[in-house]
Amino acid sequence: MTTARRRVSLPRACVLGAALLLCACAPPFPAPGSPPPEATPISWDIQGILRQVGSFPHVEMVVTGLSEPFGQGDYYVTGSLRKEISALPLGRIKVRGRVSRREIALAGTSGGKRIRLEIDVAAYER
Amino acid sequence: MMKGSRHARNSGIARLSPGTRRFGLNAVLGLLCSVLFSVLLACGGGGGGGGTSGTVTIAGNAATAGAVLTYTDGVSKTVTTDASGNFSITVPSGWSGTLTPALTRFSFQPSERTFANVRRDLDAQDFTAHRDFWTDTLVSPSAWRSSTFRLAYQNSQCNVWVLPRDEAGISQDLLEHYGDYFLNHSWPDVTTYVHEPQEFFGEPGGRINILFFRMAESYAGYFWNIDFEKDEDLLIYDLHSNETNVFYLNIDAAVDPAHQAFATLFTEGTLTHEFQHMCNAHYFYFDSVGSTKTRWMDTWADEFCSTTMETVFAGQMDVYIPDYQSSPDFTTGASDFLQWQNNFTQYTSASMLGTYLLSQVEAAKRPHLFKTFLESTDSVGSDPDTYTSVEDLLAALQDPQVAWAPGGWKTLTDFNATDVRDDWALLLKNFCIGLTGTNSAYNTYVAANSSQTIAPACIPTTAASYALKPSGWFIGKTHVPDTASTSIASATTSTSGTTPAYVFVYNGTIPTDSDLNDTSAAIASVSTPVLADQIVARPAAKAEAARMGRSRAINRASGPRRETAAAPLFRPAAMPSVRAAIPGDGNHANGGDSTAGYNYCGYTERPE
Repeated sequence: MTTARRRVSLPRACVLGAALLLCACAPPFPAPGSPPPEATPISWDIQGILRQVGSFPHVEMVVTGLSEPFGQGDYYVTGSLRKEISALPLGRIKVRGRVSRREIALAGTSGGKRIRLEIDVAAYER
Repeated sequence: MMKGSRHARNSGIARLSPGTRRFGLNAVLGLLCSVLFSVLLACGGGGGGGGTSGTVTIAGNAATAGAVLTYTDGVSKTVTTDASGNFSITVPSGWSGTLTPALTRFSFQPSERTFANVRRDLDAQDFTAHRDFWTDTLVSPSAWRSSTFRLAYQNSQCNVWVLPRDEAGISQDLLEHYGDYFLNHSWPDVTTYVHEPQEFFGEPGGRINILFFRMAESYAGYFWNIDFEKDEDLLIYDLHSNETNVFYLNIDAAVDPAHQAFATLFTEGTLTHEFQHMCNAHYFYFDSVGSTKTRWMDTWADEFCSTTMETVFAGQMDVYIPDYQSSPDFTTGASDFLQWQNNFTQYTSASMLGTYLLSQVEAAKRPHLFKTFLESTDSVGSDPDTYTSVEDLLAALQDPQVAWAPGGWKTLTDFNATDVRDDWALLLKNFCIGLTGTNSAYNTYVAANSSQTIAPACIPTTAASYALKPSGWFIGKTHVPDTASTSIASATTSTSGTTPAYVFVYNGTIPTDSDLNDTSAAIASVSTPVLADQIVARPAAKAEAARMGRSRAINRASGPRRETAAAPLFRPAAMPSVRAAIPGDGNHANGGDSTAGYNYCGYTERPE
């Protein structure tokens, strides 16, 4: 089975990297790999893929981020623009907003936690 | 498994009152020897015989296995109910005391039973089991409430709960039927084909909780993954978790006195459908911990798995194929299920695509299809121009454990947008050919798994016919030299000197943009005769054109966007100019044939 597939072509990765550099006017960022404390949102631009997750009717919109601050992962869309974004076609998107990271304990005996990244979207661009 | 005990319990309850009264008369006799006790019984003394050696037996049912009943017989003692919920204690004749059931998270009615000077055997000393659950009735805006449910039925794999307020709407026999269906079908089918949960919590015995109550009428049921999370951590979202394996069914969908056979069939499908969602979520919550997975299945993919499971195993072809054959929605493009809108048409399309794929897979390899699909959802690349969930399905189909390999199939190795696009187009093309009856394997499969047939009803014979409207199978974004091109080979990942475009692959005719915007008249039909192996679909009336317009807004990414004060940094995307005038109008010489080439392809200009 394919695991940890690599789908990144170098030229495209370079383009994305350049785009990130252009976005570096955002407020101070934590270093990659050192996320901010829980419930301490920071402003950030996230470039990624707008997706639907969850089974109906409890579907949520996520932006699967291709960039920092928390690395690749699903950022749940929150805030007043959530409904508007829910109506957008799926696919590439860039969002700006306040990002936060929460840990939600799992029920059961596993003792695991689910990391839920959220972005309260203030603006977006397709 | 509780069925027999329930009947015994009911008949026992019917005998309870007279027996109690007789017991009261006998109580004044004080301590009796065993001989005298037997004489009393011979004289019609009651619901039970006396015990031997000066003991009596008290028996009953506590509705659930594993309940612990506490009583005092010199010292504190306990007895645990068996797999059928039955219990029995033996105490000295003349015993007085209290019997109290308990089980984590459960409550019982009555909360205890008190006995005084028991001198004969007693049966039917029953309890009913209850438990509080958070439910969402799905009535807007939010209808959260905590309600006490009654345990109506239990077997080795599930608890069937019913809300007392609503239970008059559903019979005990039906609740037991659904519980048995889950035990004998949903559980083995889903755990074999998708994923078997390994984490059981919040429920003694590891059973799955199935709740029946009334919810908004448009819903048959739901599963919600937040039940896998700690309730206290959800308070900030104003949500609640039951912290157990649970899904929810609508009584009103499960019961239809005028058409109960259909309602039963449909609800059996819902049981399998929601359980698939639960097992699917289980995999991501509990079984991929520590892996490289960074994302969940897309909604369409999750629904695809559920609809296919219910269709294959719960006879839902008999639900979906008639809808496919009769619903005008299939002319509207609503069959684009990649963006889930909860249209019934989407469920139909997804179930038929899934069953088609299974029909093409060697029987011994079929159990691997969904498992492999699940396992493929492990990461996301950095290329936002392709649906990663589509890549996942294609990867699953090409996995050696599945190995569905139609002619022309490319092996996905680097997951570039071109290969994904082309293989998805090929997949859809073969699917549509299957639906038109030219793929005998699918027809055979349908015939073997339902009372339905595909071929006769779905072969288009005239220009007014249609078979399926997968128009708007939105794939992703690309660049093309010219958006007027209808060649799928024009798509490129190169950004140099090319025009950014959305790409769609579909079968059949797409109306022109002016057609779509003109709802005052029917869209003209094409005059070209349609051959049996073609896929043709077109809106034929005003209403359908209007629906097509909505679908276009979804599928073609062409909806206008407003610049807002909150978005000062971003310009709104411009309305793309539609360049999807595809020549051919259903003429299979244009690529819609069954032997060569791709299905139709269109490009729409998009902002970079």
